[in-house]
Amino acid sequence: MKRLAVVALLLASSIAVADTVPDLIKMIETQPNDMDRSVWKEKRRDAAKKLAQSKDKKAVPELEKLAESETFDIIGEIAIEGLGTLGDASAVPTLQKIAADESREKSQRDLAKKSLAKLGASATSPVKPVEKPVEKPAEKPVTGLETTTATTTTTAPATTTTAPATTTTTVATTDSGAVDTNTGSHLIDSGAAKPSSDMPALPDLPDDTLAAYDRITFAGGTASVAYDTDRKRLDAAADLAGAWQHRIEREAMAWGADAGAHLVTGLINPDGRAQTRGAQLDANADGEARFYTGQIYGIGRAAASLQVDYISDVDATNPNNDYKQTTTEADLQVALGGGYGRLLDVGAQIRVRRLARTLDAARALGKPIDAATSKKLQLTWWALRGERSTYRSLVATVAILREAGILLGEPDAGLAYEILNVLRDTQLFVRPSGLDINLQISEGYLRRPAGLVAQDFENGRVEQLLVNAGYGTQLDDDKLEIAGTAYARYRLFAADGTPVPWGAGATAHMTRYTYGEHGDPLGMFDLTGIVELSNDDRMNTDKGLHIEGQLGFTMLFNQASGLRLAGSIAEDGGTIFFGANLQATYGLLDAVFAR
Amino acid sequence: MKWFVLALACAACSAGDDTATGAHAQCGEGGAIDGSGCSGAVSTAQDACWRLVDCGAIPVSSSNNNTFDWGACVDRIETYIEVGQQLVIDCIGASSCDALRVPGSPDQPDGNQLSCFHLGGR
Repeated sequence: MKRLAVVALLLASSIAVADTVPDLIKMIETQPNDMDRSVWKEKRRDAAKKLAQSKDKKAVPELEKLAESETFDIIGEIAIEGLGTLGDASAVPTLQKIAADESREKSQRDLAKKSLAKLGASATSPVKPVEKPVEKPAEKPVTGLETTTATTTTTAPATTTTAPATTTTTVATTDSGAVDTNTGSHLIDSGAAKPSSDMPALPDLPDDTLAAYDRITFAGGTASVAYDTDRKRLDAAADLAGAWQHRIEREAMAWGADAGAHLVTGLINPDGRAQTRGAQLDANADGEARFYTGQIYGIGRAAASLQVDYISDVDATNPNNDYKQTTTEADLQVALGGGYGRLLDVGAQIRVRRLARTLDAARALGKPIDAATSKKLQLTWWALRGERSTYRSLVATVAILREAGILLGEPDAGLAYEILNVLRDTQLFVRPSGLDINLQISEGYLRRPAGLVAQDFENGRVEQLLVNAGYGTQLDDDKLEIAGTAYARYRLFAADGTPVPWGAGATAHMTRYTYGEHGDPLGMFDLTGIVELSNDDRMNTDKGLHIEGQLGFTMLFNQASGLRLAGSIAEDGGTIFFGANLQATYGLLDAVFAR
Repeated sequence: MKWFVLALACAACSAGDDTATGAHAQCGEGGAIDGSGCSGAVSTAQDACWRLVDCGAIPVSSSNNNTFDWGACVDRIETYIEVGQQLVIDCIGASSCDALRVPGSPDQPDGNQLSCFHLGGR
């Protein structure tokens, strides 16, 4: 029994020494023969972090060496920050030298100053004795954005950020602030943690959520009132629309709902008897649920719509020519079927990837953005989507990345600008990824005006076979999108003599997004192809075929100026259409001085 | 902001002297389910008239001068005063396809029954 205990003890100690300081130093200094260079670079960064957390003074010389020599790899920043975390005052001269070295990047000098502050020294003054050693409090898991937060001062110009340093985050307080011992980050510069309401309450999504979106759109197309005193004519018009879309994709099921309403109303009232007035209101709602087994799913859908039109057009002289009409149309439909795959909007995920690439290019990426942090970032952006300013989003993003140990050091002005560009990138809305194809049979009841009913247009009970497909992929660092959709529909069980319409079509597009050196969106190049084939199965009509190609380029010169050039060619029913569109938006680039 | 729009319709290219109804889009038949296939932006007279073709309300071209086809549609809208043009375009853009169809659609539509056009004024 004793032997067994001794063996177990030896085994445990041998495992423990696998990450001893000498081993870690060896990993940093010597590339193993059987290890790829890129893998080794990651390993030595990890080793440097472990050295910083070792609390072993033998690690100080190695970290000093890295801090002084590794000016082009992120391991240099890890070492600078680690010297502060280690808490050994012997590192002060090295850190002071770095802090005063104008040839080094500002972010590195700022990190050195922060580490000096942790050691009780300034960038220039001699070392103050550290009154109390930094004690590591009991480790607690970091769970995310809790209610109690702490503030941190960033080096970005005139910016005081609020970081989600939470009650469950491991925080050690020193004379100069607090250190997150999980990450080594300097979270608090002055005083104790202060509660803040700046971090938003995050939406509650189930753990197995693959993707979700919630979109609310209000659009006032036109709204005008005018009175022409010369012709004594009053004109008024309004076009208002609103829509809501919500969808959640989980592993075993998905559901979505859309609802929208649109109002068009107008009045044209010239002098005399003539008067035109009208109002059109349409509303619709659509819901869908899917149940998955692997990639195969069953689908159920329901949709309803209502449209009411009122038109009054009074002739100037002849009452017999007056036109007045009020019509109502209503649809209620359900569909059942099955399908394969999913098509997800991965725009927010791409934003996270762009963020990681931005940090990596600035050598500020301590480690890859993990799934939990990615989710926290995306939900924070979700919660802040209604903000008029991107300020809170930027502050929260930096805080989350710092807390997770992903962002090394506080971002300087240049990096803050690039992060802001990522957060404001409008080229990331609706970026599809995946493949989805389904087949449904629908049953519906359509209510149509009598004039159409008399001509055997679809009315009453209508059954249809529906096929839908969608595909999307994001390539070349998410700067190239290839996507497409296809549909087909066929009327089933129509009564004898009733038209049996059918239609099918497909659209494919390729979009190339371009960015400037610092992540500014420069524009996009897009190529679209459309083909549609249909037959309404009525007398005197044939099958219709529409083929169309569009090519466009949008160039953004600055925030006020842009250019959109597009051309299209279409063939439909033997007729060829050419179209070209040039849209220029320009803003004056004012230069102003006042003494 | 300036717009330069060039749209050339080669009606003479149409084979024969009959009416070409053109292809209908996804929203062309069948009601609310999948009825959003025509939901592209409708902001010009040309867009609005394409929407009518997509919906199977009017033909794309006809050798009969009395037929209300795509070209006649664009011409009609452009005769209205500015606010009337906008109202007609908005009305067509907001309508479901079934609401745009009239007796005679799509090959011989009764232009007077196209209710949105009555918003253009006289």
